[in-house]
Parts: sequence; structure tokens; C-alpha cells
Amino acid sequence: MKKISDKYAFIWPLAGCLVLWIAITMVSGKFSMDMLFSAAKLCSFALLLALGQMVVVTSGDGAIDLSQVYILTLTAYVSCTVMNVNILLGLTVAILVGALCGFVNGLINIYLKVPAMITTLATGYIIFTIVLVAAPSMKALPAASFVKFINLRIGGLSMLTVLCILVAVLLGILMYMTPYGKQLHGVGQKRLAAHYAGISVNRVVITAFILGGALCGLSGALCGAFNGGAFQDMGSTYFLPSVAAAFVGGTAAGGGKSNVAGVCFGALMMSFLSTFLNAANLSPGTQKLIQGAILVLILVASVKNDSVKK
Amino acid sequence: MKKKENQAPYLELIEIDKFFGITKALQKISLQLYAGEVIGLVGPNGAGKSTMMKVITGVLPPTAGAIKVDGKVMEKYTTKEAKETGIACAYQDLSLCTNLSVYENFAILNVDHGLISKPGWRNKAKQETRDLLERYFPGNHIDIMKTVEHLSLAERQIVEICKTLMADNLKILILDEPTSALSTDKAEQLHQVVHELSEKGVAIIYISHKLDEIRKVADRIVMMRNGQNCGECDPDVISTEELVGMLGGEGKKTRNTEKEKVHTGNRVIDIQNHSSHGLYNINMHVDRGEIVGISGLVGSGQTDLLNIIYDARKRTGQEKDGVKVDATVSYVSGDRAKEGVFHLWDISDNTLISNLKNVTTGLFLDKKKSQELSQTWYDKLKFKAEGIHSPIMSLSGGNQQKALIARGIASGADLIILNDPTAGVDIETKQEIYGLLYEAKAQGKAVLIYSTEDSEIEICDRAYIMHEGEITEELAGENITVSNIVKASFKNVKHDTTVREEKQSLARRILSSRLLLPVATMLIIIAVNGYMNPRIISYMGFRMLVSSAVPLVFAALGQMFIVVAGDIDMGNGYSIALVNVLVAIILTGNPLVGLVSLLVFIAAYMGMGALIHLRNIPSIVVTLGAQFVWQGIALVIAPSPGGSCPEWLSAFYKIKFPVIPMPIVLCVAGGVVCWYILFRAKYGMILRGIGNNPIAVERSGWSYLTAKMTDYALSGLMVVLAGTFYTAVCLSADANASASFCMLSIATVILGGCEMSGGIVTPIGVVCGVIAMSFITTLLNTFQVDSNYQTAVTGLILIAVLAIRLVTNRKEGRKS
Amino acid sequence: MKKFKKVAAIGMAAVMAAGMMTGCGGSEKASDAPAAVSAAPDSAEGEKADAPAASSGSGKGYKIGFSNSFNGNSYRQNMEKYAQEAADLLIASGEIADFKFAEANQDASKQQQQIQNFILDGMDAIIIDPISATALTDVIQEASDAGIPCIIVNDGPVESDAELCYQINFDTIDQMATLTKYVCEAIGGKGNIIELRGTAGAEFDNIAHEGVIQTLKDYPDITVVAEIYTDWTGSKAQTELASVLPTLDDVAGIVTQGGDSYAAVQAFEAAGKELPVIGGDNRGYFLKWWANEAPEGYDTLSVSSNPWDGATAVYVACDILSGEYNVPKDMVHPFGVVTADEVKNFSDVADEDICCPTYDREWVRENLYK
Repeated sequence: MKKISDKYAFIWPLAGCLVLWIAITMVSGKFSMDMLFSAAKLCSFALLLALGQMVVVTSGDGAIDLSQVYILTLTAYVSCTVMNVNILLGLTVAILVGALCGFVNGLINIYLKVPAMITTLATGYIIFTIVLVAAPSMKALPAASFVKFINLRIGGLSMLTVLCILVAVLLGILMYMTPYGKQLHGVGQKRLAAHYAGISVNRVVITAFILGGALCGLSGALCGAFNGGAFQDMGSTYFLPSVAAAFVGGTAAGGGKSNVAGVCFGALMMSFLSTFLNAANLSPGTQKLIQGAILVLILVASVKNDSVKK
Repeated sequence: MKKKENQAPYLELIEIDKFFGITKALQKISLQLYAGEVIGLVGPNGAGKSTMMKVITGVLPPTAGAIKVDGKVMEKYTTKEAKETGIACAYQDLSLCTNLSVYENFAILNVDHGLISKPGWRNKAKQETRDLLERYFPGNHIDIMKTVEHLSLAERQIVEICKTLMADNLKILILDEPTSALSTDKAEQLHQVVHELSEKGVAIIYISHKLDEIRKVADRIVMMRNGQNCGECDPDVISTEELVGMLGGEGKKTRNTEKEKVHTGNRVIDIQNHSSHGLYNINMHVDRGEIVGISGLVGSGQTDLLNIIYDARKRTGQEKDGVKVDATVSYVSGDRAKEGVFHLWDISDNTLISNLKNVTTGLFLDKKKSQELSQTWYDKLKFKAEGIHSPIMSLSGGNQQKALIARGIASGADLIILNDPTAGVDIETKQEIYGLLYEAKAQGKAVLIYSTEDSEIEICDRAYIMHEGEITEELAGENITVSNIVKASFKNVKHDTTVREEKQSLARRILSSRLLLPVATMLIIIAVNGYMNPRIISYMGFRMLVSSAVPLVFAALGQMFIVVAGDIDMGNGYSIALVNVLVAIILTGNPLVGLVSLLVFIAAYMGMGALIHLRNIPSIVVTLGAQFVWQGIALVIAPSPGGSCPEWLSAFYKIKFPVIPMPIVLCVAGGVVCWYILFRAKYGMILRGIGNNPIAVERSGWSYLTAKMTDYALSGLMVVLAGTFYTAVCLSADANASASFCMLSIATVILGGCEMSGGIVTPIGVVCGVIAMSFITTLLNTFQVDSNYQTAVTGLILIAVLAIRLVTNRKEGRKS
Repeated sequence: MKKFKKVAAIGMAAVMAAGMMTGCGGSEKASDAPAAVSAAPDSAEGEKADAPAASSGSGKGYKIGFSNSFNGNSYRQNMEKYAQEAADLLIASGEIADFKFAEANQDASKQQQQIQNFILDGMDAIIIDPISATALTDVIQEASDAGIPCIIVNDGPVESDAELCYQINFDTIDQMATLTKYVCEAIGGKGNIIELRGTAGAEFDNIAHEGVIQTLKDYPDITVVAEIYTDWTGSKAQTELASVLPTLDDVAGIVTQGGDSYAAVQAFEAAGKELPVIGGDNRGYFLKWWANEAPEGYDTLSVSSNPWDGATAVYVACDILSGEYNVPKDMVHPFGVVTADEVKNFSDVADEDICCPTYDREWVRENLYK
């Protein structure tokens, strides 16, 4: 049983989704496929963040990225502004800005030897300041054609969901079928062993941060468009679901193990969870409390498995 | 003193076996220890000395054999029984808290283990320590007020030894390489101590590689080799050369090795006159088509040498510092767990990871190629497993090692470096491994192998023997015998090995003081502010500006108590918001219920600490999740901002102190009280010690769990104060308001001079850091900088301080 | 590597310093060097600051500070813009010498600190858009004790009996009653409605909510199925609505405080649900949508606060300082209404415009000082 759950780590979040879907149906009194599609659409932004977090955490050594939601906010503003000129350019610039933020994170972590958590805590606030200072002079409304594009539906699935699936597939190929992916998982398990195996650890880790940042950039561009514009604390709603999704989806907190499908289902599950809590008419305080308690349980369970091994 | 006739041994080991799986660390070891006798224990690598010491101190239970104490066979023999038997061992490195002063280290052991201390215990401890040190090492000039971190290596060793001598009921003292860092005169003092103790009836086991010294000190020399007794001798009768000869055994080769000359003469490693940290004047070379060995006593610099060769691979063909490597290099480590095995992967992945180029087609990994290649190696190495996809951790140690060697050879590198590759590997597998090395040699590769098993070096064409960072001998061909190796391992080195003491100048000490940065920053920023706007330098000015800093001071102090344990509190901001809500909404209306809720809150913090300790979960994870729990509870109680500040609280906060405004009084009081708790109270010493060396403190009889929970309780208390003062400042409750406190508290704790790794905290520095930070806001306002920049400045300061600290630590050679 | 890290550390410090320098260069506010301050330090007992010396200039040369609790949405940004424009006119005539903004990003203790800094900087008057009714009471008292009048605008009223505390408020109850009544009538007096609110804790939001509740008493068949805080920001409203709408049944009407009407339109369109009666605001994109794209005969009313109150506050501040006018402690600022008939006048406004009536100084003196 343990072997199956280890290999197919996405089983747990998938089961979670099913349980919650049933719960929602019971509480709201109606069954709808629409619920599924709409939850999938809403979880896209947290999903992209969670995938980025997965990449960073997989690089091992306790790495975690706390600056993600601020990168998302910044790139939302940037994409809205640049898309005025050209949609594709705007999208590219947003992703590049995100990648640049990730690059800075990686540099500080590797060369100044500041632990990743503190690095990203500090850079997160620096990025937020850039947002606060530059926001009044940046355009906050998205380009109308881009908004239309992401609101398209393909056979019931929103374009956002399609994009997410595309990104997840590409990321899966990268993580499991390319040399870089192999190296990343090696570095995550044991950086010293990877060093002696001839892997350039520094390069692998910094690339992981860049990748995570780029995913945040993409998420920011999509989020800005979907929400009718960027606003200053748009990122805060996504912090909890993205961190929870990354860990419930089978990412090992110590690094070296990841599961793209698991993280996707994890994000979907968190979206179902918040829909359920809304449908059950619980106050925002109670909702946060329940989500927080679940996150603690998830983190405790996921970390416990690792520490026993070491 | 030598044993008397008919004296019965105090401790007796009878035919002790200790096996680790297939590794036979000790075989039928017998030893008798007589009261008052000094035994010199000698043996080359792999003799089993440290294993035997672990058996004697009860750390490892023997696989077979008996232990007798005072004639009685011990049914159970653990560390507890060993302690009761009066056995104490002076470890090289492990038993001092480097962040505590010398006398505090002793006090941990001695002082009464209750929570509250009798006044005057400090002076008593200082006197006792001074007496102890003076007694055994008269004229030592060790400043007992200095922290162990700042002692020289020699001083540390002396303190270490004295600490061991403090054990009451000392019957057997084990000294493991006790004079490695001592200068000659101090070493003599130690020998004097040994002599005194033996006169008093204490038995001493003196382990050393310094054979001359052993002959001077010991009454009887016991020799071990390969986990077995190898004889005893009388130091008065034997000479050092004869001793070495006995250790090395006969000059014959123990192995039947085939040596074909394949030497192709293409130089892959060329080192000339290289000296660096720990290595002196190294001259060596390795060519293609040969197997070269490195040997010598463990810790003679062999691993450093391997590492500088491995690091040179990036500059193929270029010489730097006398080191030139002209080939592709792969590295096989013998420390599988730490440096070699990727535990989540299977055999195939572990084998191919160094060779991804060959299994990649275009951009992607080629499954077919991978399968073929790993199957080839699998068959070649004759793994005992189910297939190439068996998880690596399901294999025996020997087979795991085979996978690592396969990785090294499969990489196709021209130079293969092996770092003690056959540790813990069975004989059969060893032979297979040697076969692979011969094969590599036959293909024209170069092999450089370091082994702690002297006889293994016999498979090499040439060997370099190292001692104390120098190459003392180069052996070739027929001359590679164990006895030659052993001889060279003890050979005297050319460079000056006397230990010199270093004194730190006063200026240096001030500059490296942790308080310099926060205090200086605070004074400079206040000065600049005052220059720009003299109105600030006034009672009213200070009162206004510091009053909003008071909550942050206590938030930072709360974070500091968590940091002293080596943890971090990511929930710091939201927990303060929760207290804010509790005070403004519950306490205002109903003081009793409010007080109870605050106590429950502190208990919750203690519970968090217990969870982190007992379940061994990283604190960042738990506190990150807890952040949402605090916020959720706060939102449930106060869905939208409201509540009010209790009358008595705002009246208190507004009290007009003469001369010094109330907010400053509160900040100073907070700093002083925390300083008192951590640096003057007895338990504070324990809290700091736990953050640095929990094992040592626990061994002295304190509970790690209690200490951790106390840390978290104190932190909870500080958070309560922070939230209370925040209510006094903002006059209402807002569940979202104090979120930024988290980063600010971490930043000011670091700015204030605390170490995130634990044990080192500076309450005064933290308070100064907070005040500095809040005056930065005023400064930004004065310069008409957007106040939003404050968070960015905080982030930059955080990174800058850590970067600066990295540089200064490197400079002082401290381990960060 | 060692060298690199040293350089990096020094570089960091340099970046920090540079950041601070460029920051002060980049500020576009009217900036003389910080005005000459009186050199005599305050005595330890005295609480009152020295009266600030007026700097040179042909006018009175007042120094005015504007403490804004939040400027993250277009309403607040426009309010600051109008205040700046009014101040610029007066700077040109010399009546104002220095006009500074400080923004607290919804942090109560930060706003307190900023007001305290204004006091220590020797401002003559402080305009405040308060974060809550109670958090600033003490600091307003301190300003008043120091002889500095505080003019509360836009999000008051605050609880203060300080001598020099003046308040410019909207008749919020009336404002929300007008809007709510219209929406309730338009949906036929029964059905489900959503209430969009502002920032939790802001006094304006509290009173607005009161106004809604009071009006709903007359409509017992109307149920509020969701209350959403949007910080008066469109994109936030859209996010929140997007997650709530799938769980709700038919929504007939939306009551808003302003800033999120268009977002509500978009949220319903994106969710594919039928468009309810949405209480409108004065933002360009909503009015333009209403004029051009709303379904035929779409009936609603636009009622919202007027960010022009920023400029009004500047005028009032100067008048208080000059002492020539009898300025009352409590003033009411008019809010703006646009009806279905009038909306065609706004059919091609810019998206980000806020369409509100403006008032000049004379009008303020005549109408507010009653």
C-alpha cells in the first residue's frame, strides 16, 4: 500500500478532491459539472504558483520560496502595462520579470549563503515595495483582447485550465524526461553527493529558482487579466493554497521528490476546499482557521515521512 | 603506576566481539584495566580503538563477550552503568558549548539542576573553575570569563580535559589524542596530571599516535590491529622502532595481487610544492594506466588532498597553486550515506547520474539507452539484487558501494578518485571491486585510491603515505607492504608542528563584537535624524517616535527567544495580531476571561515547541502553518476591526516619566529583563547552551524538551506583551494589521547580532536594532522618500547584514 | 570567492544608500529643502512645539501635510491628484509653501507615525484620510495641543473632541439610502442581493453599512446573500465575486459603495449568469458601459462619494489657518448622483476617469461653512 501511494503520490489529493466534491454537492444541494470547471478555472493561478514552488523545494536543502505572491503581483502590473503595446510582448516581459526575480533569489541564496527562506522573505518585501511605489504610475487594467482570450471555453473547459494543463505537461517532461530534471532531483536528495557526482549544484539550484519565478510571472499575467486588473494585495489569497497544494501533492519538504500531477490535483483540491467552505456559509475567520489547520496537518504529515528516513 | 602483584582488574573485557553486519570491528578483544594503571593504546588504521572505547563507555553493546566490573559480570551495560562504574571519556570536540564561557560550561555540570538558583552561584562556579584549572594546569592563564569559541585550540583541549576530570567517582579516564593541540609544556603538564591521577588509583587509557609520548606516559602498552589484540609490551623495554615494527607485522605481502605494467605515461595529475590549509609541500603525480594509493593515519590530510584534486577538474590543463589536473575526473565516495547514494533512486539512476550525456537523445533522456547502459553495468558488476530498478536502499552496503563505483567508471572519466571505497564491504565484493579497478587501469585510465585499510594499498602500483599533512613516503611495486606503510605513517614530518598561541588584539575584539553593528547603526541614524530636524532630539520627539516602536521591540524579543533555540517563528506577526484582538475585544470587556485566554495562548506556544521537538519537524513548517491558525482565530473573534483599548492600559502607556519618555523606559526594561533572564539567571545559561550543543547539555543532566518549551513560553510571553502594547498604540484590534512584524522581527534579530543557528543572542543589540529600524522610517520621511520604501530597506538590511556576517566569519575562520 | 562576497556586501550597502538618494530626488512633490527649523530645542517639560516660523514668500507660506490611509485604488489616487492640483494653484500664489503626502498602506501604526512626523516637521495643518474612527484619536489630540489643526476628510467621522479637529464627511447614510432604495425598488421589493463593502474597519464603511441596513428594514422580502469586502477596488471585487458566485442562486441586485460596479458587471458576465441590477458608481468604465453596452432599458442609479473632497480639504485648511473665516467643526460634502437619463452624457469618457462635480473655493466658502 505504501509503495503504491509513494509511486502514485497524486492519489491522495485526487481522493481529497472527490471527497470535497461530494461534500459540496451535499451542502449546496445541487450537483453540477459546472462546479468542477469553475473550480478548475479558479485554481489556475495557485496551481502555477504551486508548480513553481514544487520546483524550488525539489532543489533540496530546505529551499522554499516565500516571495512568489509578490512576484505574481508585480508581474500582473507589468503585464497590464506592457500589453497595451503588444499582447505577446506583455506576456513575455511578465515571464521574464518573474524569471529575473527568481534569478536574484538564486544568486543571494547560493553566493551569499543566505538560507532560502530568509532570502525570499526579504526579496518578497523588496518586490512588494517596487509594486507599491510603481503601482500608481502603472496601468492597472488589462488588455481587452487578452481578457477575451483567456475567457474562451473549449468544450466546457476554460482556456485557463487548458493553459495550465499545457504548462503541467511541459513541466512534467522537463522534470522527468530531461537531464536537467534528473540532476535537479539528485541535487535535492543530497547536494554533496550531487557535487561529487559531477553535477554543477549552483547552476541547477539557480535554474530552479529562475523556473519558479517564470511560472509566477505567467501566473501574474493571467491573474491580472482574469481579475480585471492588478491590485496591490492580489497575491495574498494565493499564498496558502499554493503552499498547501505543493506539499499535499507529494513534494518532499527536504527535496528530491516531486509529482507534477499530484500538485495539480492538490491545487484543485484546495479550490474545492474553499468553495466548500464558502458554500457551507462559514465566516471568513472560520474558513481561514480550517484552512490553516489543514495546512499544518499536511505539512506535519509530509515532513514526518522524510525525517524518519534521514 | 604499574600494577601490583595479584591485583585484580577493576574492569575486564572478555573476548568482546563487535560486528556491524558483515564488518567485524572487534574480534575476541580482551583487556584488563587495573586501578591506578596507565595503559597506552596504540594501533594503525582500522585497529578498532574507537569502537572499543565506545564499548567501554557503554555507547555500543557488544555482539558477544562479557564485561566484568570489579569481578562481577555486568548483565546490562549502557552509558548509565558506565557512568556509575566511574568511566569518563574526554572527547575531542563534542562536549563544550562554544557560546558559553568556560566557567559556565563547568557550571552546567555542577550546579543544582532546579529551575531557580540560589544567589551567588555564579561566583561559586567561577571560583571552582579557577581552582580546578589551576590545580591540573598551573600557570595556564586561561580566562574563565571568555567564551569557549574564543579560546585557542590548546586552551580548549585543556578545558575539555578538566571538565572530564570533574566527574565524581572517577575510576577510569579515557584520553583520546589529548595532546594533539597542546604545546610541549602544556603536554608535560598533562602528563603530570596523568601521573597524579594514577597515584590516586584512577586507571587511565591513553590513546595516541605519538609513540614517543606513549612510551613516556604508559605503564603498559596494548596494541591492536584489525580489531584484534596484537600483543602487549613494556614501554621501558621497547624502542619506538620496534614498536612500529610490531604494529606493522611482518614484511610479507598479505595479498596475491596481479600487477601488469600498463603505464602509458600520460600525466593526469601533477602537483608540485603545493601548500594550503592543512597540507604542506605536496609533491605527487599520477599517470594514465596506473593505480596510485594514498594512505597514512586518518586525519593526516588525505581527504583535503583528494578535494583539491577534484576541485581542479574545472581548470583542465591549467596549473594553479602548483596543482594541475589534465583529465576528466569522477569521484567515488566511501561515505555512502553522506556523500554518495541518492537514497530515493534505484540502481539504474544511481549508476547513470554521472553519465547523462550518453543516455540523452536530443533534449530528452533516452529510456532505451538508459536501460541498455545500466543493464550492461549491472551485469558487469554482478549485483545481488532483483534488477536495475531495485531501489538502492534495499541493497547491502557492499552492493551500494558497487553502484557508486559503477557510477564513477561509467562516467567515462579518465581519472577516477576513490575515497575509502571499501569501508564496510565484504571480502568477495572487495575482490570484485579490485577487479574493476584493474580493468580500468588496463583501459588506460588513472585510478587514485585513498584507503584506511593499509593492506588494501597493496593493489596499487605506487603509493603515497601521508602524515600530518605531508607526504612522508612514496612506495612503489614490491615495497608496498603493510609494515612499510605503517612505518611511514608514523614518520616524522619536516614542517614545524609546534602549536603557537594566538592573541586577539583589543581592536579586533571590538570590531568583531556583535553589538557594534546595531548600536552604531542606531546612533548614526538618530544623529542624522537629529541633524535634519533638531525637534526630534527632545522629550516629545523621542516619545512620539519610539512609542510606535515598542510593540516591535517585544515582537523582536519574542523572535529572539525562538532563535536562541535555533528555530524560527514565521507566525510572529499574526500571533501578535491575535493577542491584539484578545486584548482589545476580550480583555477590555472581561479582564478575567481575557487573562485566561492569554495564558492559553502562551500554553499554545509551549505546545508548538513541544510538537517541534518531539516530532522533529522543522520549526519553519509548523510556524508557517500556525500563522494561518492564529489569523483564523483572530478573524473569528474580530471579523472586522473593532474593540478598544482597556482604560488602565492606555493610562499606563501615557504615564509621563521624568526625563525619559515611557516608551523608551519600556524598551530598555524589555531589553534588560531579557538580558537578565538569558545571561544572569541559571536557566538562561541552559537555554543558550541548548541552542549550541544540546547533546552536551543533555549529557549534563538537563532536559532538552523542558528547555525548548521554556524558550517557547518566554517567546509567547513576549508576544503577549507585544500585542498588548500594540493595542495601546492603535487603540483597537485589527486581525491583519501586524503581519509585517514577522519580517521586521527576523530582520532586527539578525541586525541585533543574533545567530539564526541558535545559542547566540544579544537582547540589547536587538532593542537597539529595533529603534534603529523605526528611526529609519523617520529618516525616509525627512528625505521625502515614499514611506513604502521602508519595507524594501528592511529587506535589504536583512540581506546585507547576513552577507557582511558571512565575510567576517570567513575571515576569522569561524564555522558559520 | 572571498573577494566577491566582500564586494557584494559593499555593493549592497551602496545600493541601499543609492536607493535612498534617488528616492529623495524622485519625489515630485513641491519640495523646498526642509524648511529652516527653529534652533531652540524644546524644554523637557513643555509639550507645545514652537510655532513654526513661516518661510519667505509673498503669501502666507503654509506648510500642509496630507496623511492618506491608503492610495491603492483609483478613487484615492484621484483624491490625491485633485488635492495636489488645488495645492499647486495656491503654491503659485504663495499661500502654500510646502505640500507633502504620506501614505500608510492601511497600517494604523504607520499612519500614526506619519502624522507624528508631520507634527515634528513643523507642519501648519494636517489633512487626514483616517484608517479608522479610533486609532488616530490620540495623535490628533497631540497635534491639536501643538496648535496644529487636523482636517479629517473622506473616511471619517473620527471620535475626537480635540479643539482643533475639523471634519469633512459625506452624508453617508443618505448616500447609501438613496442607492439601496433605488435598487430595491428596481427589483420589485423582493429577491436576493449582494452587498459590496469597502475596507473592513474604515468608518465610512461602517456607516455605509448602517445606511444599507436601515433602508432594508423597509424591504423584508429582500435577503442579503453575501457581504463582500472589496477595498473599493474593482479587481479585488472581481476575484471575490468569482469564487462566491458559483455557489449562489439567482442574484437580483447588487448594492455597492463605489469602485466596484464595473467589476460586478464583468464577474457576472464571466460566470455566465444573468445580469442583476447593479448600483452604479462614478467610474468612467462603468458609466461608459452603462451608456453604451448595457441591455436596453437597463435601469439603475449611480451614487458615489466625490474624490474632489481632496481639493476641498486643501481650501478648508488654508481658510482655517488664515483665521479669516468661521470654519465649523463639522462639514458635509455633497456626493454625486447620475441617473439613467443623464448617463448618455458620459458615453465616451476615459476608462479611468472619475466623473464627479468639481467645486471652486467660493462655492466651498459659501456652502460648507454654514
